[in-house]
Amino acid sequence: MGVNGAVFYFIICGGETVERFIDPCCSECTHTQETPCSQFVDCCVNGPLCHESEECKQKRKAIMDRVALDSKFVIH
Amino acid sequence: MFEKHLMVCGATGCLASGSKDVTEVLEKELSDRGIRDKFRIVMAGCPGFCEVGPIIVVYPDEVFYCRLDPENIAEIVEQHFVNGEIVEKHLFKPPKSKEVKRFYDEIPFYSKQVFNVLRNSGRVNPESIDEYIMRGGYRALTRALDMKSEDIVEEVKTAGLRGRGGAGFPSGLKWKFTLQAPGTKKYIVCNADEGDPGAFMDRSILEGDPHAIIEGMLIAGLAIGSDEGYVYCRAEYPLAIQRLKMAIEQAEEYGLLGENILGSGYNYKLNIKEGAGAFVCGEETALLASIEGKRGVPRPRPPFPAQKGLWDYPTCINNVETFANVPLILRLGAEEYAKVGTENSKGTKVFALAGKVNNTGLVEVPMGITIKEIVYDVGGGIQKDRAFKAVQIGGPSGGCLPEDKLDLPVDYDSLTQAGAIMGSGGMIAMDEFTCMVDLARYFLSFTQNESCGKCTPCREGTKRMLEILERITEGEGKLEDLDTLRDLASSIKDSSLCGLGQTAPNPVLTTLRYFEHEYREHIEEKYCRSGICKELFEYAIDPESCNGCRACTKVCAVDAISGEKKEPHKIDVELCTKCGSCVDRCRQDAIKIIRVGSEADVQG
Repeated sequence: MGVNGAVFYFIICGGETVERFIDPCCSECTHTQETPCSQFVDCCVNGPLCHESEECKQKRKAIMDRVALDSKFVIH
Repeated sequence: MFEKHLMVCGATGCLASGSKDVTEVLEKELSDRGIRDKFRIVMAGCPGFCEVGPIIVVYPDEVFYCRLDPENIAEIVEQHFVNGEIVEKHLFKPPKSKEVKRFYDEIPFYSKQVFNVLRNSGRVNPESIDEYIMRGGYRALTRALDMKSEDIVEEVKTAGLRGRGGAGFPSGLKWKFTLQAPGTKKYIVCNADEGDPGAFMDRSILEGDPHAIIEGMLIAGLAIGSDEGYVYCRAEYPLAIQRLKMAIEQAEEYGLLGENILGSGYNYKLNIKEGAGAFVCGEETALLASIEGKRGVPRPRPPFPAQKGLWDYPTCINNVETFANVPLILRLGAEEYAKVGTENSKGTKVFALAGKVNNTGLVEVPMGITIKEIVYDVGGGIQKDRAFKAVQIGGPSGGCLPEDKLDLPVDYDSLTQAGAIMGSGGMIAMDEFTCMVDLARYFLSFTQNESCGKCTPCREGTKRMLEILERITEGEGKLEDLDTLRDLASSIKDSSLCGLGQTAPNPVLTTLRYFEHEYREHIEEKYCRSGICKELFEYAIDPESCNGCRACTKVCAVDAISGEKKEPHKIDVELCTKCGSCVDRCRQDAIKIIRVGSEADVQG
């Protein structure tokens, strides 16, 4: 990630870098290899599903916005 | 946020033509200008159009730059990325057209393609599981985890998916047999042992979208009750193996592979087995033997792998492209999936389009499209406006179809009826300068070399057939050879142990069926009209057409062509090695293929 990207993430995530879907958006998200969540895949794109949080939603959106080639790229 | 995404083809074909060097220069140019952070550069999967690589597709503009080399990059960066003007000279220009195609979707090569299997190739970073998930990935698995095995099998059956590796056996039925086979341990095997000359469909799918294969295998595992699988991939596909390994690690980290997947209690272990490249290991029982560490040779069936496969456990083997279709079926639903294709051949087929067409590359077309549409619309027609002669479909196990089959729909049944097979997806177009006898000899020499030798009909029969074909191409053929070829072919088809032997005579049979006149010309007239079989033709220059431009003399390596400038030239047949360089160079079409010793006919 370049400098602009890092600044963008800092703003969005309040300092917590969430670069990949596997990174927990907050303490509410418990999905790991050892403690799997059945909703994980849908949650990556449409989440968070287990709690309400605009901030957590934006974190997911930021991951998608970074790589989406066009408006049809992400399939919800 | 990035201003632009630069998707550089990072598949083996473009890497071989220099896409890595292009990328390095691109990185440096952007860095030197201090704008690197505004651009995302991805070594993506194959966008298909190998003929014009290396390729960069710029998003969101969808500008398609092609035939690039490192020297072109500074100009593109300056003019397009800094000043916002597309660099037209690096865009695609169809042959004989003055108009460039500015955008991806305007290029005729893509116009009749439907991207199911290649939906992500060239659009995602194949090394990112996140991007696969964004594109709908692993949602089919999530759905399958909530379904009963029988229901998954039924969905695949309803979708009408047939095996993309060769024979086109209904995949759902194969899954049903494996599901019903007794046993607590079962295996899923992905056949990535792509061996047909010129075929690279499986390699491109693995390189461009490896998670699709993992997801397809996971769903198949759920359907038949398997907790372990193998991908058998030839070792000469190092990039495919590297990306697959990376994808497996990511899927494990994300809890999508391994123990208790997504909390469902479903466990799945996926292994990679690298093959040494023997063609016969693409045959399912030979492949299984190779995984077990034995010599890769086929064994008689029954029992079929569905009953007794890997280490004698029930095993479901499907090809790479077949597995790549599975997530789409489960995500869209069988009915939606089956909207593409014909009644008995659903979905799309990926072909490696090669030979004498203008646009070679990887193409995905809906089942039912005609051969003519593939050759002329997607392939851009025959090079140099020469006449179409035939198309070889299905690789060495397939058949040659002539011009009057151009309107044949490409589906399993139509191709089989015409004497060819769908095969794994090799498609080679041929022009008037292709000798059909020599072509049959070439394919038979391939299968003969690759015959494992276990069964006599294949080992000895193909050798005898090859000897006859060699005799015919050398001018030593006899008319009775044609009957002998047919008899041998029939015996080999009926009695060979595996599919390799059973289909090996197909190129000979179809060329005999559609081009017997060429065989007869070789035998009775000692003449090869295509100028391939060197004993059976000579070159001569037509004095009426030759303008004495001397272009031919410059390419003749043995100085066999003489003549004054602007005067008709002459070929010394004693010196001529019949390499054909002069034919390719002559713009007047003045160099003719003639019968041996008939030069006077051309001289008039």
